[in-house]
Amino acid sequence: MNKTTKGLFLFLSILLFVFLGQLGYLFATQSVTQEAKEKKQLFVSLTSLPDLAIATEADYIRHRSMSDYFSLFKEGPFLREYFVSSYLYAPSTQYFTARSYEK
Amino acid sequence: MIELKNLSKSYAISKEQTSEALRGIDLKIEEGELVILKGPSGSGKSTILSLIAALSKPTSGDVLVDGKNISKLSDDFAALYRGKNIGFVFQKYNLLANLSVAQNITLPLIPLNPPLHELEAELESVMQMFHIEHKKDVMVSKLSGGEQQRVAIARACINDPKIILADEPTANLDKTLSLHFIEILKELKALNKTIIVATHDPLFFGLDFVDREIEIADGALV
Amino acid sequence: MRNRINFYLLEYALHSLWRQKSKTLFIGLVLTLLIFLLSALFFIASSIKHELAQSVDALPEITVQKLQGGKHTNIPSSAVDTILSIHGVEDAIARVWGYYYFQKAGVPFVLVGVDPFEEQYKKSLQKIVDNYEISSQEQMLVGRGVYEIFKEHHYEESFNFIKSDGSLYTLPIAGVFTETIELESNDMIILSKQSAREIFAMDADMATDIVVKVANPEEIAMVASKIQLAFPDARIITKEALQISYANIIDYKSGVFLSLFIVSLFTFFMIIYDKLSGLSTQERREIGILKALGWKVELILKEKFYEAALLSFVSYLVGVSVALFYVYILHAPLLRNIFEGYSVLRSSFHLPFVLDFQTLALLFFLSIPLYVAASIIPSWRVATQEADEVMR
Repeated sequence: MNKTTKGLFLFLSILLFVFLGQLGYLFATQSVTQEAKEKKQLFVSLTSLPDLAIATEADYIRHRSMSDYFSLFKEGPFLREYFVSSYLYAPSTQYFTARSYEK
Repeated sequence: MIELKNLSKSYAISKEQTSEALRGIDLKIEEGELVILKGPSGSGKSTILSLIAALSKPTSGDVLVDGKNISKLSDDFAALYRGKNIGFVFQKYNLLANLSVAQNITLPLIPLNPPLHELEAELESVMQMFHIEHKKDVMVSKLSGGEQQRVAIARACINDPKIILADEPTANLDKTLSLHFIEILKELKALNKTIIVATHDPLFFGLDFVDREIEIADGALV
Repeated sequence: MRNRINFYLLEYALHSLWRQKSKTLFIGLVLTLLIFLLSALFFIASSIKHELAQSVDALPEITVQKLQGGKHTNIPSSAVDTILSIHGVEDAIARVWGYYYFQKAGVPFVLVGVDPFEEQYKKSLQKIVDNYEISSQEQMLVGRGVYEIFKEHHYEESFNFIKSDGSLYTLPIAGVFTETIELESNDMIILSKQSAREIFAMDADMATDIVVKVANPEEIAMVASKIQLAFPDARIITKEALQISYANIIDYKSGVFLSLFIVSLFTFFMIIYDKLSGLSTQERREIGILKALGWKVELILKEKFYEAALLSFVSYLVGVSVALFYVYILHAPLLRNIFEGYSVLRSSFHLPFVLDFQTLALLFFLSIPLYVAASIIPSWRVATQEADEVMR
């Protein structure tokens, strides 16, 4: 092993250190603590509303699972495109299975 | 020590056409012999060297080195054979231009993975032998033609081969440097190496320390 | 044979990378960038999923919405009694909630009317609200995003809602939800049911929808079908369906971009492969020379492997490290837009970090072996030819 190889190993270990160090740091500081989890659950049980406040531009995509198809056109006779968020997934597969359960 | 038996080699030019580079060569070269293969370019000299070095396989016939048939060796064993027995000085030296002198010379030792001090000792000794130790860390691309050739020879000798093959070694050199190469040949001969030089340079003809001059024309011995 | 690691070979590989500085740098940069984009997406998606998964336990098992002519409409609160009489139902609560569009800012808020403005809930509310000071029913708790928007429009202490008859309804701000629950509460306003009905102009005996708690998870489907029987016009949403739709939307969003990146990733590898299959004469010559000097095919491939593995491993480490920094420390500027759409009310995107070895491994296997293969195969093809032929 000479200088170049030593340099390489030094470089690699620095990289690895940064990588693992960052993982460790984030794990220690940014993970959800039990306390935060309880707070979140407390709030959600208070509102019993499901979705996260990430896409908030239109109400029918805010709590998308609570919206009906008509809401899509309430801003006008056109379908306003909110790009990925206005994509509509079939409301629920369980919804249909619940119905078929009757038979 | 080297024996060529009814050696033929043809290259495919297209699907139908083949060109015959060698036709039925029989030749025996003893250990420690210095042989000059002479003949015009395209006569098949280089092909003989390449077959002896197991760089390519003959179409028919055998190459025996120390009684072993090397023309039938698999790729890996051919590499092993070359690494142990052959030092090849190529026509264009075939140095890796962006590596330093030391790096180029030690290339044949890398497969053996010797301890660093051994590697350095061998490097020092060949560099001294061929007078290039002052250029140790210079990029090969920055060397003159003569220096490049010395690097090529040093590289050919670092694994202490029994056989040294040189293909048109003076093709790119002026007269002074060519004469210098002949001096080096003499030194190598003194080390009891088997040496085969393929050349059409008249400087090599009629030298007193050369054991044999073999003329080749059109793929056959003359 | 010696079994020691051949450091000379490693060194040779390093020099080889160094010799082709611009090529190495270019490939390294492109690979790093691709890995960075891929991993940033993966991290965001897995964090959001994780966040959703954490709160999903607290959700009611079934939500019952009344549909009229296919449109969502208010449900009479009396439906609660019918639902409560179904066997297996633990609890049913009539909910009052809706959206309030704040025209000046162009932002829809979510207004949720809750009962817990009473004494016994104060303690738990205090945990999630900063500067909690509720003194009456006529107050509200707001999310941080809402509070920011209020402040921008000079509503520091209270806010004037415009009712349906055009008159104003003023509610003082009693507190702001704590940062921890920002992802959930950012655009939310919690107020009493009474105030919510006032703003939405809803009758006192009506509700937006009804949430149902079912103690035994095995009975959910059964209860759902019974509610459906009792209210044929209702839309029943189960918790499980929500979970599925979450997973779908997040996967879809990340998937759209993932597929683009995968395409570019494979394009990249194809370019590499294509470029190397027609190895430049210089590279071919190098392989030929090494063979002529006694290198086995295996050794040449090992050297090429070192080169490719070093380059891609460094790219992986750098790409993933930068992505971690970008997502969890810088909060993913630009890329978060994919997930946020063009919301005016920006969430802080303080995503929780999830140590997800699966994602890391996926990225690893998506980048390194592919690159190594793409670069070794062409070398292998050349290396197995006759040395003499390759050198010509």
